[in-house]
Amino acid sequence: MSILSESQEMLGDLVGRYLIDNYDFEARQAALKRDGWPSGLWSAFADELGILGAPFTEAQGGLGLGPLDSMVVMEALGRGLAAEPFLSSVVGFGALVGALETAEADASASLVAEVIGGRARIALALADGAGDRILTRVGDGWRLEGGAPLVPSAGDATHVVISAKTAEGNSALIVMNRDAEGLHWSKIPLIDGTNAGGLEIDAVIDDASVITLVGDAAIQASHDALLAGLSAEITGILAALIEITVDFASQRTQFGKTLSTFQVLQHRMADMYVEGELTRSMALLAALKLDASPAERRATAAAAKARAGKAGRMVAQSAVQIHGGIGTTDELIVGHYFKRLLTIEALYGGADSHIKRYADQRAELGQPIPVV
Amino acid sequence: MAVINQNTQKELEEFRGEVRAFLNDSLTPDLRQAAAAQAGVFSEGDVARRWHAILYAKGWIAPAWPKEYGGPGWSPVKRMIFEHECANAGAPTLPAMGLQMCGPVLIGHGTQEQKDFFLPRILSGEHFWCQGYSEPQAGSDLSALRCAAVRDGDDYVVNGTKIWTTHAQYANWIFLLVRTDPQSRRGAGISFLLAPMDSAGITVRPILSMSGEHEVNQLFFDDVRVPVAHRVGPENEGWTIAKYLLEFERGGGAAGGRVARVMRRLYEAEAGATGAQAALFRDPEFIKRRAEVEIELMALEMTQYRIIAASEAGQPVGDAAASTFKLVAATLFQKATELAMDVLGPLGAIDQRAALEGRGPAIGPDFAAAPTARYLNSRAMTIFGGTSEIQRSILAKAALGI
Repeated sequence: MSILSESQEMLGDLVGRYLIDNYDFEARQAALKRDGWPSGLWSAFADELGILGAPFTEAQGGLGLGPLDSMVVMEALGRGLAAEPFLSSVVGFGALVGALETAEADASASLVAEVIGGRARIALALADGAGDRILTRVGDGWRLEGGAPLVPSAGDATHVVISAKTAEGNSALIVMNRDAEGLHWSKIPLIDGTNAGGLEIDAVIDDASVITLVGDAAIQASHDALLAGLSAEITGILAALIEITVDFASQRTQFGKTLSTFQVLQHRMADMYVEGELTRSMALLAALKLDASPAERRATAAAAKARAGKAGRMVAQSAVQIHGGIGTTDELIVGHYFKRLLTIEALYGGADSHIKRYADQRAELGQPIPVV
Repeated sequence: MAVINQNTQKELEEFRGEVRAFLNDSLTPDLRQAAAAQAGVFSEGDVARRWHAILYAKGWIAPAWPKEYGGPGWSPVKRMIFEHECANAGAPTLPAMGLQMCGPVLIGHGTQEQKDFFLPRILSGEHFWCQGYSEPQAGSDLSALRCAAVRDGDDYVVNGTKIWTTHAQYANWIFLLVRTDPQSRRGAGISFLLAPMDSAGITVRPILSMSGEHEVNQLFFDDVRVPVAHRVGPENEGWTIAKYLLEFERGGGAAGGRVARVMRRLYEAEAGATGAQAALFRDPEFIKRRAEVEIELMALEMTQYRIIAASEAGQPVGDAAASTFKLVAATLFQKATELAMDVLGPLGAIDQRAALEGRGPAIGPDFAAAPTARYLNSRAMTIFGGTSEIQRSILAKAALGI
């Protein structure tokens, strides 16, 4: 069941194959333990796979690909349990730049080129709580104050994009070097093995650091692209968990027969498969609707993330349960997929919060969202 | 991907406009109202006949049929749009037995004579079909069926019984599975026959559902003569055709529309609710449950779109897709009808049979008439066409290779 083009299928296969060959579970765990960034994988993303330019226009030096292309990459990264900050640097930042006015986007051209080349990685401090950060005019520069308690992928970033409220009540977008003066980071380890950052800000910045003073629409577009991307990542994680669980159940013997011959387990695995399929459908829909009206885009992104969150819990819990004791251990990859799912839910909202977000948007739309 | 590019976005929006305009003109308030009062699986009686005639006159009665057999020649995407718009406009749900089951089987497996005779009559509504599959001893285990057909000259002589036969009381034709080889077991030795319902020896016994509807029946065949010319496909090879039909029944596109209709009526009910009833619609738990059903419906419709796209691109659809669709659609319809009943509060306990049969007004607001009966009726959704448990067993094999 596919609506992907041949080239999109190939892109997904390419990334998936590369991860299988170069990034097995042991390699991943070792890289995370070393805290060694930038990893070899990131430069491979830039050079061998060339995926870091996916959403950026050709004029910006990117590939000018669409949301479905980003989706297949995210799905492959999910399946491979890649910890690299593709989501924030490419999916989120790409959507942000894509939603800017031309002049504003031009101003970020050099940073875009750095990202595409693999030399820059972006952390995003764009949470809805932009009010926690304030941008005020001081002389011919600006003062940026406030904090962001939990910035994903901050440990690996070279730059951070920060939203802050202006005197006019809009959300400005500011880009800074991660280690710029006035940014105070604390390292926050996450259960998925990556490092987030706690950020305290008291910085004086110049005009060049301010991408725009009215970035609300771009922030929203970026957020929805993140949700669609995460739904795709979860799709990949679920596919991996289902495959691993079915393989295990087909080999493990108890009571003189393999687990896969027990109907109660067959049906549970069938339900896991259905959850995976529905999640894939919603991830595809969210990707397709990234080009729709903001209200429809927002509602669909929230719906997809809600559905993926629900499926994630069901599939991960079932995967552990069907594995039995070994499923509860740190040595099996299952638990690490599980923790990545939990990290996504905690950082970007779980099913309940996104169901509510969807309901609010749906009320605003006044009609159901057509799939086609 | 071919399907997406087959129609430009502009063409699709024009088509959507055309469908909306047609529904606006043709779907009269009394038809909408009658459709809203339908608690059973399909519209019946006058409502079904009138809506069938309107779609037939427009040339839109069989969206999924190839153009050469009388379909409108729409792309799969246009078919989805048509279905979505019909559901959101609250159009009646026409019976599937002729248009979505027997028709596709004849198109795929019928002789030229069978196609020429039956297909135009399915389209026009002259022939109204019912399905003779289940038997008292062959439910989930369908291939254990025993209804026997013995060759006698140019006829088969059929003896046995069929059960859960929807709309047998209205139908003038039946397609049925019979055992033509008495020595055979399971799927081998089964044949697929077509018989007029006025054949001598057919008795129809009504079965009332717990919802109060007379939808299904038990049929008795007592030396019923069926011409051999009315067999579809080779003798003793009807099981292949039976399964071919089940794929249409399970993958049938109407399921999403069914849920959409229930959800649409919830919004209408909310708009008309007052006082304590209105408060139930504002309950955060209700709003959350409604949102969950809507999200699941989007996932179902997108899954349907993926199935359609794959089959258009020449990829095999297969059992996994049909069973996924059936399993999700049936469960979701039950969730939707449950929600619509729960939000009625105490009104949900009222027996609205008189209103549902057009013998009087609803007790309480109009929207309170159907939900409880519809909920009770929906319990059959996860049973007919292969139970949810059967679908899961199929999925374990077809999707997971177990």
